[in-house]
Amino acid sequence: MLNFSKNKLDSLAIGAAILGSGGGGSTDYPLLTTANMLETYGDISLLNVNELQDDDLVVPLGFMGAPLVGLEKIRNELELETIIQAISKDYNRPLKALSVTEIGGGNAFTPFYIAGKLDLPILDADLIGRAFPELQMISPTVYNLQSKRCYMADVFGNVIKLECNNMQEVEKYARHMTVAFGSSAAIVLHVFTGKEAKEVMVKDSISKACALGDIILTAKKLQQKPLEAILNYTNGKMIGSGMIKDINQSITAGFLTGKVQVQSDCTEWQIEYQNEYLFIHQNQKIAAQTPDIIALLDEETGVPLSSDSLTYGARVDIISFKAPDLWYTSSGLNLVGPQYFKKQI
Amino acid sequence: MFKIGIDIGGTNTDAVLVNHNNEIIKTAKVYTTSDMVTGLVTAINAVTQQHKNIGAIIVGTTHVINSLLEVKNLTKIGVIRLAGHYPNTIPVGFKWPQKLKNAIIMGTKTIPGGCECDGSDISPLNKTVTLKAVNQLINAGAEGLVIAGIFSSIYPQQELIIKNWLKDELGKEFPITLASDIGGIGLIERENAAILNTALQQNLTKGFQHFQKELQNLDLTCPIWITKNNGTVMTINEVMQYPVFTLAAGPKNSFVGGAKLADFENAVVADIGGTSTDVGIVIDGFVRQTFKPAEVAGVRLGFAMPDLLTIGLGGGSHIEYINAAIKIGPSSAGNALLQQMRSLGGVQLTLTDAAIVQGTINIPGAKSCLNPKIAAHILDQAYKTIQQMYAKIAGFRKDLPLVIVGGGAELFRNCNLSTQVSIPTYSASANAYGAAMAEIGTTINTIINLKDRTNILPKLESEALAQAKTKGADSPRIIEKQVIPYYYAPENIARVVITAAGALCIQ
Repeated sequence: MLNFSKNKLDSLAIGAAILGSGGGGSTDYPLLTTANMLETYGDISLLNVNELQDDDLVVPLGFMGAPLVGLEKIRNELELETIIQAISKDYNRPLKALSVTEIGGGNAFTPFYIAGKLDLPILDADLIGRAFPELQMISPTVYNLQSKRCYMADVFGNVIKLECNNMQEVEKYARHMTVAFGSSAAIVLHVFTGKEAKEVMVKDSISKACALGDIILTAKKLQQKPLEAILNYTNGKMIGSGMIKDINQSITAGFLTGKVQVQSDCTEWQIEYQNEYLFIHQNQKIAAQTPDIIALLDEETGVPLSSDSLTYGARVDIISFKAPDLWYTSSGLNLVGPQYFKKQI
Repeated sequence: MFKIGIDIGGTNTDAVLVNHNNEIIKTAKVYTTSDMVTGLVTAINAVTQQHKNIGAIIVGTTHVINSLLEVKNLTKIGVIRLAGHYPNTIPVGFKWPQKLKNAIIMGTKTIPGGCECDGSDISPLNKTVTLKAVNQLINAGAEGLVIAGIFSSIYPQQELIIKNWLKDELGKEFPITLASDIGGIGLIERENAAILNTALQQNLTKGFQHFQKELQNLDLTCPIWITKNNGTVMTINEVMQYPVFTLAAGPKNSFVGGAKLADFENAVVADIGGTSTDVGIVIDGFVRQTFKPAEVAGVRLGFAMPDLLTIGLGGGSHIEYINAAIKIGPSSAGNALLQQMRSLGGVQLTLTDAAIVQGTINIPGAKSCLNPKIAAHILDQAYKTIQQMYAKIAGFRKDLPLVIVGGGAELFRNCNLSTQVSIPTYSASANAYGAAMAEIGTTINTIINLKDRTNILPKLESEALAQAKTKGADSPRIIEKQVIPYYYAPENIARVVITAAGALCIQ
């Protein structure tokens, strides 16, 4: 068990933002919310996956919907509290830990909103190792572990349970439900036993995000450009540097989709996104693509820019690095590979 | 035709007279008076004696931000959150400095209301509940109100309805700021800005009304502008209603003015004042801004703020010897420099005393009061502090020149300056010169259908450019462009904000 206190919040926020590949929503308000919760309920314990017993119960928490909503409709505690109550009632035994569903972006903080109040530790693991836009794009689907039941909750304490044939159908119906909830809903996609968690979850996600964030904060302290440190740590690839010339985006079926153009003196890049950055075209050729993690970093400060916070004229460094291995397996690529997203955007 | 640029700082009020080639013709520096206006009028008179041909006066002021930093002259505010789901995870005033929070926020009520992202009500407004909440806040001591609704920058109707109800209940004069008037996505930043706005309004209105009257007495008929956060200008009437929009302008003026005086497009600028020094960066002629949420006086706001470092070192900084080591600041003689400094018979050794020894600063009647070696040692140590700040803010951009400006710039004239460092002519007036260089602009804020994006956006841009030109902008360009799509709206629509601005042209 590790202790998670307020002094780790900044590292987690910046690390999670990079792992978000432009998506997963801003980490700004999640950080504020967590700061308030840690002040109110005290520090949180981080549990390593190896510390789980096979019959423990683990609940991954997350929000789905439009990231923009989180910047306006400040959370009440009711959504997460009622969802946990519903699960406890169904399983009729105490939970061992909460966990992150998606380490990329604001969702990295979701279980922290309620762990203190419920006096539960948080598992140092998640289901993606980055951010992806659709619900079926999680590690249990890759390993063919079916979810018996999914749970959704809104701000008024309503809980909806979904028992679907597969995660693709959960995605389909949950997306509609989320719109009815005001385009943001608390969601639990799986309730894992300790054994399942050990088999399918992406391990050490929180520690890794914090370590990545630390690198940027340390580089800043040492007055170095963080870029090199990030590339070293992630074993990443430098794609180029330029200025944002155009942002063409719209909302399609609840996703922020679009193309952003970055230009330097001699090269032009086009980055396509569906919440997350998915493809980089360099002079009409692919320079990087999903499932690689793509980040646009502010050239001066190394701060990652998310797809919903792009601004005209910003100078950015474009980098890419590998996502966790499971996404490069054939079943992983079926779910999140270039072929799948080409059909979408 | 001439322009007058003015900076009203905490210690000094600076004025510059600038010709049509943006060259400084005359400068003046007077003490800022507690009423702000007397000093200002003296400064204007000092630069206009021979030049009656004034086309515009542009004023930058840190007066607004100072009243927040000093927690002075602030109105007590009650905050109404329109949020039918009663969110509690980020309370009103979260992370504010305790002293400021205690001085301003008298109470908070969350009541039914607020909108979903598609414009429907989270819960409908309730007049009885609303008026009861307002009365409770006023009974608790609130002298002004803020109404902040979820998604109000896109759907302001509920806030407007409540404002109407309150007009009947409290009268037209009762200070109220709607979060929708501030605009922008992000409830917390909008709510914070609205609170500061109402808290600042009353006192500023008094000051600026006085200011307007005095200017009429001066017989100046030219327009008067105040510099705004985004580098453009606003009218006095606009400032009295939205003082919060001037909070970031002060330091920006010094940085832009400093880089322009030294003729650099890219530079680090250190503004040495009487009490403190600000260091910022200018890239391509624009002040570098922070990407992290901007904070003013410790409060998160949604405005782009200049990336700057501040340290308590200035011309009035007290000097102490502690075990043969020299300690400079952060305490300072401030406005009482002439009474306190040792060279004029006072008891306090200041940084200015050291410069008097070297002859880089001349004050009538001042006598050298230090061993020249010690004076040089003190100034070298102060210069080293400035170099450390340069290194900190420049980071890996070690190629950037350092421009030293401000009333205290001359302190360092005799230091061993490297070729990368310059103190330009008129360095003491960089802030006022920066104000004189402020641009005039127009913002178009409208809703478009994205299907027609390729046609509409260029059209809106040329419209903004044309409007800016009409307002007096010389060869305007687009300085801000935002397209925010609406989630789950029936049509593929988006809010577009486009700002065009250019140099203030006078005839």
